[in-house]
This record gives sequence, structure tokens and C-alpha cells, in this order.
Amino acid sequence: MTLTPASVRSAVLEQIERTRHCSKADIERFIEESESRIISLDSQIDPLIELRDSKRARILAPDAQLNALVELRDSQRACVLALRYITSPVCTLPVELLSEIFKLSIEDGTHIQDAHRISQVCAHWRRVAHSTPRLWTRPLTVDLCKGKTVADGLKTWMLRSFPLPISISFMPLRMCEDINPAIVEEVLKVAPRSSSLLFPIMYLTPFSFVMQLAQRRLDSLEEMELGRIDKTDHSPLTFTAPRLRKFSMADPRPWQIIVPWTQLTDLVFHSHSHKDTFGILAQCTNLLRMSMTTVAWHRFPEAEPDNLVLGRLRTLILHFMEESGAITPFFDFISAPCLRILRLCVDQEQPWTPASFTTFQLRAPNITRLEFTRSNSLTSDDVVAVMIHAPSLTHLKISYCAECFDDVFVRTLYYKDGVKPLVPRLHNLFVRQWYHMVNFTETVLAGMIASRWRSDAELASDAAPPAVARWTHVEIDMRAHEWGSKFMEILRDVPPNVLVY
Amino acid sequence: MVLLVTSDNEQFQTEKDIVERSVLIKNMLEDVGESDQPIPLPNVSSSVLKKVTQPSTGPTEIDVRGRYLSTASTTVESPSRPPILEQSQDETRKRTTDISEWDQKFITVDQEMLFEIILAANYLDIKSLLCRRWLQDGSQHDQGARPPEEIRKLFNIVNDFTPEEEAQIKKENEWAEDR
Repeated sequence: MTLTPASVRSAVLEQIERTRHCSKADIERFIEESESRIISLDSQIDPLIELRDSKRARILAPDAQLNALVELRDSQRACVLALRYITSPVCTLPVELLSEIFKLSIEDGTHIQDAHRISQVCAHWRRVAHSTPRLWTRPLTVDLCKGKTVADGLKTWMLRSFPLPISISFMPLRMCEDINPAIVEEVLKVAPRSSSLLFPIMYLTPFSFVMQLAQRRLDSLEEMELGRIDKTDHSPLTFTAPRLRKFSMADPRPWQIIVPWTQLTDLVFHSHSHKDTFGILAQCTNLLRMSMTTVAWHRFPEAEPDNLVLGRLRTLILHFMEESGAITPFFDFISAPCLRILRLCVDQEQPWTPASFTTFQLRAPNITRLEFTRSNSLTSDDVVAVMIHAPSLTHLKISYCAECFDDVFVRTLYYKDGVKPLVPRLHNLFVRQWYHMVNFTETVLAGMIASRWRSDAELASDAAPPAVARWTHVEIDMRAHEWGSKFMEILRDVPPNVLVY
Repeated sequence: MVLLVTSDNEQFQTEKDIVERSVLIKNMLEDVGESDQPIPLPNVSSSVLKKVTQPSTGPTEIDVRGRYLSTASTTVESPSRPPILEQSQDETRKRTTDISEWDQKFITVDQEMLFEIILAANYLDIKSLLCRRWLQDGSQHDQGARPPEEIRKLFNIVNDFTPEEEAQIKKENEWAEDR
């Protein structure tokens, strides 16, 4: 007999039974007794082994006798291990507490290794881990194209999480890859208790899989992301997902996917058509956050849509891509009275119509954060017009907008005593321009920043509250730009934790 | 200050902000309001409560035998108890684990006390003191985790898997690699 996990297990069971009514002192005595026996047995075994290994030996060691002694010694060793285990402090932990500690030991980034590590310590821990579904519910990434062993492993993992909701994301899929039906089957089995199903939005989502998903009740589903669907002529797919709140879709034909639009709070989609977009948005009355990328909105419809009120919308992210003609009238038909955050990306080919945007701003008077990214069709005059109609603005971010950030724009932010300031609540400014700047003077920028800065002492001595907010953060990222000494001199009083350049 | 009474009938005057880390005591205080009445803790002994409520004096560590050390001090072994495991010199090199969750409290305990503290933490509902890090690799401070063999060695746990379970473990490890 050699010590194997199985022999240790039977020793543990035997010793648990033996020590059921024993005190700790009794068990310690048992350990001492066994250890004495091991020493004694070793003293008998060693000479026999020496004899057997000796080339001079004329008489072969009696193998049967040696084996019997070794077996006896190993059973005593197993006994000692078992007794030490039974009396170890870790065994005093109740199962519920052990399970709780296991849960605390799982990290998001390493949850598979963590859960396996814990469940591979001993049979008891394994049983506890397997009866703690929470250990097995962290987001799982699934590759639909892997082989059978992966399907089997996936099945085992998913079973351990039952009956709790699980979150699944999928590896990017390429057109030529074959999907393993066994893996699809395992995912479909758990689809009714999936809290999120996330396909990489810029990659392929297999139509056959989406179709099968749509045939199931997705009762736990709260978030779904679909990439491009690999079939163009399918009829609409309707999802039954009573808890769905977040939906993202890259497919240019979103009208062919029907989800419970009214209950959505977050929507991300690519739009190819004004008409369909307005049709969907008219149903999305509970949206809090929306991100839309327009693709080839060629003509605005002749019949103007009704004005859409997105009454709960807080965050709006819009990317008007190239070749999307006449997009700015979009703003003519949208009201967002609660809007706080607006991020715009307007590609160069897009004509910016300030009047449309101004009318939109009048219906969205509570914007506090504005971001312009890669909006090359906007001029500094356009941005100034936006500022004028954004009295609540606190954060402004301008990234890679070649025409927006120049002396004209900077001067409008300059604060002079006695003059009504533009965007008086602005306290956070971020500018990233990596192009060669034209019509830009460092000292004008420095003067503007300094005009809106007050030291603590100045603030304390001011009799009246300041007319403009003091900067909390200003960051000017102009890549390799060498700032002149005058710029630095003007801004020497602004602390480095506030001003970054 | 709050008056706590332990299972062995000792009384402890403790600062309110310290005892309120226990959800159990915090809830009791909220229910009772301002009062001079002592709070009974029938499941916590005085020796454990002392460890739980000691003021912070620096990072606490656990060595490979499960004994807590102060970073500033040398190893303090429990005088009444022999080492839990006999190990080679190499194995006994010190492995440290911050338990920053307990605001780096100073405690010097053997494994028995460690698990008593864990039981008390559970009773008092102090999640942060459940010391999840005792399952992680102290030598690397969050870089990597203790493998099962090390957990076994540290806590006197035996590998008692059946051949079927071992085969299943092999498979699940292969899946984790291949997936």
C-alpha cells in the first residue's frame, strides 16, 4: 500500500468514526501512538530494504514480510494525516462560513482558476464549492468554435451555477469559422437564466444562433449585445425578455430585431435610416442612455416625423458618420429635457447646422457635460454658439476637433470682472489637439485659464460669491507641443493637481 | 464608548467607531439608541474580542504556519502550542499576507486563534475580517494565488479525492486551459 488520495480518504472516514466521541486530548494521544508505531515499523522495514538491495545478499528478503510491514506503516501514516486533519482548526469552520469565505476569494479576472483552486483542495471543500452556485456565476467568455471537450467542460461549469443567473460573452467570430453545435446547445440550455448575452458588437453574430435564442423565453436577460448578423433576408425576430434593460446592436437593420423597446433604459445601435430610427425611438420612452451611430442617412424624409420626447434621457452619444447626408435636422425633432451629458462626433463631411442644434438645446436646457470628438465640421464659432445656450455646463471636452479650438473660442471663455461670463459654472476643461494648431496663441489660453482661477485666500477674502466657478481640472494635451516660459509664468499659481499640460 | 460583555463574562469599554465595524453591534446600537447598558456577546470570548478590537498599529502578516506577525516585530510563536507543521528550512521561509481589510490591525495569533477570529467575525458580521486572503499567496501580495497543495500544507488538509474525482479535476483543468 502506498499513500494515495483514496487511501487517505478511507482513513479520514475511519478516523472520523473512531473519534466521534473522543476529546482532543484523546486524538492527540492517538496521533502519538501512531507516530510511535511508524517509528517502530520503519526500524523493521529499513534493514529489510537494505538486505533486499544488497548485491551480497545470499538470501532474498522475504518480500511478503516487507510488503506487509510497509502496508502497515502506510496505513499508520494515513491515520496520522487523517487525525491531524480532523483536529485542524480549519475543520472548525461551519460549511456556511466556508462557503462565504470561498465567495470572498473569487476575483473577477481569475474566477475560473480561483473556483477550481478552491474546489481541488479536498473532497469536503469540493462538495462545499459545488453546492455554492455563487462561485460559478462570474461572467464567462465562450468560444463557439471550440471542440467537444470544451463543450463538456462548459456544461459542467454551467451546471454548478444552477439556478442562479449567469452572464455570457462570446469570443469574436470570423465568417469562415465553424460553430460547434454542442457548445451552442449548452449556451441555449442556460439562455433562460442568462442575465447577459454579449456578442462583440463589431463582429459577426450567427443568425442561426440568434434565431434559436429568439425562440426561447429569456426570463433573466437584462442585457444583450448583438453584432452584425450574417443573413440579410430574414424576417423579424422577436425576443421575449421581460427584464431586458440594455440592448446594443450593430446590425444596420435594427427593425428586423424586435425587443421590448419600451422597457429599455440603455440603447446602443447603428442606424441606416431616419424613418426606422424614429420608429424605434418613439417606443423607447424610458431610455436613460442612448448611443447612436448613423450610417448613410442619405436623405431626411419628406414627411417630417413628430417631435420625439425622450423624457428620461440623461446621456446621449451621437456619431454622425461620413456619407450621412442631412443629419443635423435630427435635432429638430428630438426633445430631451433631462439630458445631462451629450457627446458628439460629427465627421468632416457632415454639414453642421447651428440653428437646428440651438433649437434642440432650448429643449435640453440642463446639459452639464459636453464632449466634441473628431468633429471636424464644427468651427470655433459653432462651439461658441453651443456654449451660449448651455448655461448649466460644468464639463467641456474637445478632442481632435481641428477647427474648434482657437483664439476666438478661448477668448469667449475669458472672464473679466463686471462682464457677464459665458458658461459660468464651467470648472472642468479637457482639450486634446494633436494637429498643428492655427490661430492659437499660448498666452491667450494662459490668460483665459488664469482669469477663471482663484486661490483659496482670494476666495476666502471675496465678499461676494465668485461670478465664475474655479477650475477643478484643466487638461491641455497637445502632444509634443513645447510650452513657452510666458505661458508657464502666467499659470504659475494654478496648482499642478488642477492644471495638467 | 460602548460596553461589551464576552462569553466568559469580561467587560470591554470600546470606542464606538471600532465596534461599529460589526454590523451586528451597529444594528444593536441603532435599535437600543444611546444607552449605558452593556451589549452581551455570548459567542465571543474575551481573548478573541481583544484581538478583534485592538487598535491599529501596523500591517499584519501571516507566516507559512498560519501565525500572524507584526511587520515591525519578529515572529512571535504561541508559547503553549508546538508548531502546527514541521517543515524544512526552505519551506519555513516567511510568507506574509496583508490583511489590510481589518485596517492593518495588530494581532499575533496561531491558527487556532485565526479560525476563532474568523468564527467571531462571522457572528459579529464583519465581512472584512473573514480573511479571504488566507487562500491567496502571501509571498507575492496578490500576484498569483495559493495552489491547492499549498493550502493543504498550510492548514493540515489532506488530499482525499477518489480516482473519479481526480479524473474530473484533470478534465476541468484541461478545459480551463483550452477554453
